[in-house]
Amino acid sequence: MKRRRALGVMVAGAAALAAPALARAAPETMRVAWWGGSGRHEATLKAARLFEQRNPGVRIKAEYMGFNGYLERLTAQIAGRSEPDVMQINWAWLAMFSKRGTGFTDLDPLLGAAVREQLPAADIEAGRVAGKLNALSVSYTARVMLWNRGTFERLKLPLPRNWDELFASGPIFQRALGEGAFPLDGELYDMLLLAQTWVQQKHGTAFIAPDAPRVAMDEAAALDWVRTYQRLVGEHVATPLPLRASLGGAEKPTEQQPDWVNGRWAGNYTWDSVIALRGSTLKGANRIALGEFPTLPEARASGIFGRPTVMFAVGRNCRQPELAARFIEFLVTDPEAVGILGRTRGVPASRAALAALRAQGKLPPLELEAHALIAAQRERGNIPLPAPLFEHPRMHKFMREVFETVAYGKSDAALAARRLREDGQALLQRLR
Amino acid sequence: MYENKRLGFLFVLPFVLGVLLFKLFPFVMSFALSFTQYDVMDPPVYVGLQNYRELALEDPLFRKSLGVTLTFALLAVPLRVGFALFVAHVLNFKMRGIAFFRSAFYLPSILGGSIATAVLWRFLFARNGLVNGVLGMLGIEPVAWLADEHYSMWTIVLLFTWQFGSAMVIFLAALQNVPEALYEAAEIDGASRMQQFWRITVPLITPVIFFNVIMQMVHAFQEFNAPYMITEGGPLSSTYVLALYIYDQSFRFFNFGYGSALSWVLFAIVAGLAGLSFWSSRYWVFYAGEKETRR
Repeated sequence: MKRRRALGVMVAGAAALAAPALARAAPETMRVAWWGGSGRHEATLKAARLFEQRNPGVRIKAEYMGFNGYLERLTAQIAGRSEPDVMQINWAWLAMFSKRGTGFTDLDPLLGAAVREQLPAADIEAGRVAGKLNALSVSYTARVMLWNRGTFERLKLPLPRNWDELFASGPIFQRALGEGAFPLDGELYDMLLLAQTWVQQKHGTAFIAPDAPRVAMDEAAALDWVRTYQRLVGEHVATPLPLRASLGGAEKPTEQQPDWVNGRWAGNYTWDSVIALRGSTLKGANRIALGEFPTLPEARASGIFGRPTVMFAVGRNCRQPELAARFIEFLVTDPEAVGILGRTRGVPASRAALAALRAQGKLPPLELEAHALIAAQRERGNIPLPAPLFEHPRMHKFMREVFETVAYGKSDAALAARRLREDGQALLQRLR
Repeated sequence: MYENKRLGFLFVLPFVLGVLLFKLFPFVMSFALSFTQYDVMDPPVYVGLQNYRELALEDPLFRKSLGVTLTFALLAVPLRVGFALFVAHVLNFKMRGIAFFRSAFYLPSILGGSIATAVLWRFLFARNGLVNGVLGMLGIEPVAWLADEHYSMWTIVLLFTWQFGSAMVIFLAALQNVPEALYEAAEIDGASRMQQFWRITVPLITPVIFFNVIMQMVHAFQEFNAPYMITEGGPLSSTYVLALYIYDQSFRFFNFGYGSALSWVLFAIVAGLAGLSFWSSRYWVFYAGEKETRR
């Protein structure tokens, strides 16, 4: 009995002595989650390894995947309080996960001066909810007009510079290339955004007010929104939804459409961050070009739709928030990390990162051109942040439903406009 | 004896724990959540029957998706069960290479509703796809299978029917248990193949038909993959089944309370239909030795 007790004391003593040493030896593990393609995965993993080398004793557990299913997984993890320490999020998700600014760790007291020096103040402010810095913007993106210059040259048409030229190009495509040819392709969401641009220029207001959860369009503006969409499709400018759906999915990306590849669909209204992707399937004479943003004479607003591309946030249950914030700062500002990440998350918002990439020749001319165009508009205050609820999945589904009934001829413009205003307002009240 | 019992309990413990943790707990939790408003970030707020009231009186999308689900089940279950029975009957014939055919016909069930299958289906039913290509050769105008609300349902019904393998295997086992002597006697009496099938085969395998109908009905009401991957619930919500709506409400719109209420309505419908099937089974399902037991 005595021997057993003595043995127990010895084991306990040894454990007590070894515990601090073991704790020192055990690496501090930090979970980092993001979505993306293989390029983004490889670059982020490489940057994470660099962070580990610079911070001995820290181990980064990467959780990465494609976009599909990412939000659902994150939702389940947040519900179970097992979300990653650092997570890549969309700007619009702030309105869902952090309505009162408490959904993520406040980064304000954690971030160093380097971030504030390198990132434009507007980009930092985009991550603020109820006074708390919930997420840090990595890059900024806005909608641009992309054209297949080759097709327009073959038709001896200049690239559309304004709405009149855009609408006039539809019938020309129809006559010259046939029923299935269109100057512009896009998913339903792209088209309703483009139609909203026209309304913003004419009426000066977007669908949802940016500062409060309410429908901002009056009856005439809402009616114009639906009619502009109808005009885009009816005047043979944009690919009709039923046609896109019949070709294997209404949301199939433009660059995967055979008619885009062969130049019969010759334009796209999309994010500047996907310029390379859209151009990736164009070969030979078909080549991508950046177009002018169509603007009405005496427009009341630019109507350009822009917002942070992706953001990094720290989970509210994170046990090492300082370390997590240091990692985000490293990704956004460290020269070596910035070089590794390149433009895998769009053209970086950090001034130093942008300069470094430019010096290294890692920014293709078209991306640079688009970036400069957007930056100039932002400097003039022409791209206000949209209402976060505009990109809420429920609102997205609602708008899609309404415009789908218009696209299929199941609803006239007046009925659709009324639904947008009345049902839209009711939905906003529920979502806020 | 007691030792064996303890060992037995130990062996079933993982299963019991699994059922308790991953089945019973979510089951009870979802029922509790269905009376709340719960958006993941904040604690659930008790709202009584509000979710149920809303879906019954104020939610047109619920009515639409319920109608789509019922239509889907009504079309898909008889087609899958009927086709499985037909193929099993053919594969029950004695012919060369039958083992190969049995494996080949089971293959679609292994592939299931995977991403690859969805891509294949989109390719087959696209406007410029294989199905329209074949129709074109027959002089038939191309059909917008995926974009026309009148045809989109059929594309997912066909995918459901295509995965008939598991039902077929069960039918095959049942067919092989029908005594050969009955067919021989019927043949001597001059019964045709068709008469033998309807008068001998079908009555003797009614318990298996009943089992397959119940199982496939449950599967049909839970159908998610095909509409999610092929049609995305469209066009015009014509393939927006209830399972898709539950998923959207819970995981995309962060309405877990409402999503749970929808789940319980779906559960009640399936349970009600299963109950109705069990009640009706006394009139058309025949079990071996039933009469002796009743006496």
